Amino acid sequence: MTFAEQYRALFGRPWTVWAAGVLVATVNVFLFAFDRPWTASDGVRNWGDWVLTGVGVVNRPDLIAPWLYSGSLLNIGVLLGGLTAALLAQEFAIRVPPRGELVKGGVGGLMLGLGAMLALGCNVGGFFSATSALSLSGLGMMLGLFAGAAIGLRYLLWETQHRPQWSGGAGRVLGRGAGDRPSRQPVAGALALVALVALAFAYGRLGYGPQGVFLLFGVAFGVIFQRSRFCLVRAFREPFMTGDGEHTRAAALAVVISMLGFTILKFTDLKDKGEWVFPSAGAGAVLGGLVFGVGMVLAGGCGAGAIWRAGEGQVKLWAAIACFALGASLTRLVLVQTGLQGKLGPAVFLPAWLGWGGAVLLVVAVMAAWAAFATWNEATQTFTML
Amino acid sequence: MTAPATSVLDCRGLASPLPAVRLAKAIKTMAIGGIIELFTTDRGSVEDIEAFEKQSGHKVIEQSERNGVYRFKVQRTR
Repeated sequence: MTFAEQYRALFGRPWTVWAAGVLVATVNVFLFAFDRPWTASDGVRNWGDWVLTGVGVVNRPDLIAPWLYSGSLLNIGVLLGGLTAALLAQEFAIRVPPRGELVKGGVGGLMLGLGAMLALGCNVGGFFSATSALSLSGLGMMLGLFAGAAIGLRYLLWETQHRPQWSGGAGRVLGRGAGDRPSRQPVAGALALVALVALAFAYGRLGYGPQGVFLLFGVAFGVIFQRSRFCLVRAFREPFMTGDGEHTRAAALAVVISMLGFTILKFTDLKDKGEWVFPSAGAGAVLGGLVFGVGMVLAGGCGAGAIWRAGEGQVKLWAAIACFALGASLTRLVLVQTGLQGKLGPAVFLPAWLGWGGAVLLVVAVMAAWAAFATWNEATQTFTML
Repeated sequence: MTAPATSVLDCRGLASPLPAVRLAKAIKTMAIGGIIELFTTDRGSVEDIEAFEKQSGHKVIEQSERNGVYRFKVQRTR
């Protein structure tokens, strides 16, 4: 393969959803081994806290600045990774939606914030990483997400039928060249990549080495998602929409691989057994998953998807992230002040109930059942709403 | 032989899954053989529409992209 052919393979054609699933799972295990698992809501809440602290609504003496906080840097990395990959593939453009779409982005974003705080994590941290960590809350959130995605889609179908004007009107696309081939984007993308690596090294020189590493982990996730368009929203929503099961199967595989890696880290005591086992394995996880599931369908992106799509230039997701941040920060404030924070559910580490083998088998069985449901539904079209 | 009726669906600015949802709704209003010409600026919708074609059996008879706008011609087959 020539260099040009290799470039086209990486940035001219999409990566497969399966490859993305395996890569995301692997990178998540690397990240956990480095420090802590991937989540998006933690960083987004940090942003919300930062803004609300500035206006005096929130008071957090332990608040770390967004440019130094690990969760925030992961998200910044995902955003810039999405931007860089889009530029290298000439897919960047500022896409301004009609007003009704921006409203759905905002409302969806608020629900992402509310749901993530109830479940103590978004779909990445509260479902993908939590299930990988053998936390019962992860499975609880999965149940909620499953139902929420169906409800969210049902709502969109109703809205399209009965209130078409809520998504009517023109959108605008800015940033595409006048000609057929916008050829400056790959150069900008290459510069962005160099700048990101330089930024990571700069963090190191200033004594903040780990921060630079978190940024690069985020960039890796952002690039993988943008190139493949692997979508966890699709994994939950698509069986009810067109019935296509590819993203569901890839997501199920990703959870299994990530779970095996996390389990090895815990089993060998390289990581503490209680890590990422959330005290929400009850109403918190299920209700949080439900609200988050509806929100992600309305917003058009989840914890991961909202951020990398924002990097690609989708303005609807900029609105979603802003509202996700404010919603998360405010929800957390209310939960703490009302005392509900302690009533979301118990923290259950599955091996404590089922032993290591039983816990691993349970997660594998649930993921296999999810994939099997998607495959069966794909053939029979039983639950498709479209 | 008269050309099959074509209806235009402008979904520019809409994000996934709305273009595919609108397409599914619109295609039901066409007679068999009728064509929907859909415009979308959302890359995610490209996969939505390809999945819709695979699962519904309706045919994408033409597909192109220009300046970030994707154009699909989808024919109702049943």
